Amino acid sequence: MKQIKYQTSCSKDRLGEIRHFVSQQLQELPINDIEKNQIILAIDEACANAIIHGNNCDENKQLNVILHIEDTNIDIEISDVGQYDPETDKITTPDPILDALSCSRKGGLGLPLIHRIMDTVNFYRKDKVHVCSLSKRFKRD
Amino acid sequence: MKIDQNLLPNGLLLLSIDGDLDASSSMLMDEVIVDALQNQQYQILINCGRLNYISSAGLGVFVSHRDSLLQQNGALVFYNMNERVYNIFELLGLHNIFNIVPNEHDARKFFAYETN
Repeated sequence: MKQIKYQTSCSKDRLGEIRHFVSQQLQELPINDIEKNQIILAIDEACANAIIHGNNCDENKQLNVILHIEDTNIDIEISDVGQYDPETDKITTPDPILDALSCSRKGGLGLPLIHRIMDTVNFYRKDKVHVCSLSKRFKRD
Repeated sequence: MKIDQNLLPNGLLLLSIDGDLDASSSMLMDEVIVDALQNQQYQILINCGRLNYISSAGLGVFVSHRDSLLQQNGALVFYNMNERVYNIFELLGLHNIFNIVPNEHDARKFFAYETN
């Protein structure tokens, strides 16, 4: 098992660097480009939520990404000390896609994407730390 | 991310996206479409040949302007989309909502049929 940590600041400008870091770690895995891109996307969405909604893009705050990678699965932990509205981590409508389309809304698609990509999605608080925990078992061709 | 804009002689607006359309660059995409709406350019071709990556923030921009364009008999037509980006549209079922065609020829044809 490989465990890698990445620490960065809560700025939207860091998202590209986070994706690059994750992409490098996934390079050797026996999964195709589509599945790699989906995992990168799920992590990007969770980090963007943490940066924007949890930390109001405050560059003085830190965001931690930990990847636990095995040949068959990946576990991801994204943590920060942001202040979250309790609704941020929930899908509050039965059909968020239809809802976004009918309200011409820009937001609300990130969390549904994370849920469609990952096998398990959990949010919890450990003392002052907000944690987003994601896991996925890789498909075998 | 960079967006090249080209107003074609038949009034179609061609936008070529180069790079990653994510939470940090989606505002630029939004500004470009808002400007197009203000200039009454409702028929928009989007060349995705150099669009490397899209996240929900990018998808959200297209979702948010879809109705305004439809109300003006316009639309967004995407073409040259790579498999990774198409797959993200698919994950949310948006490949059935938006017009995604293989190439520029088909994208132009889409509006020719729409107008006639």
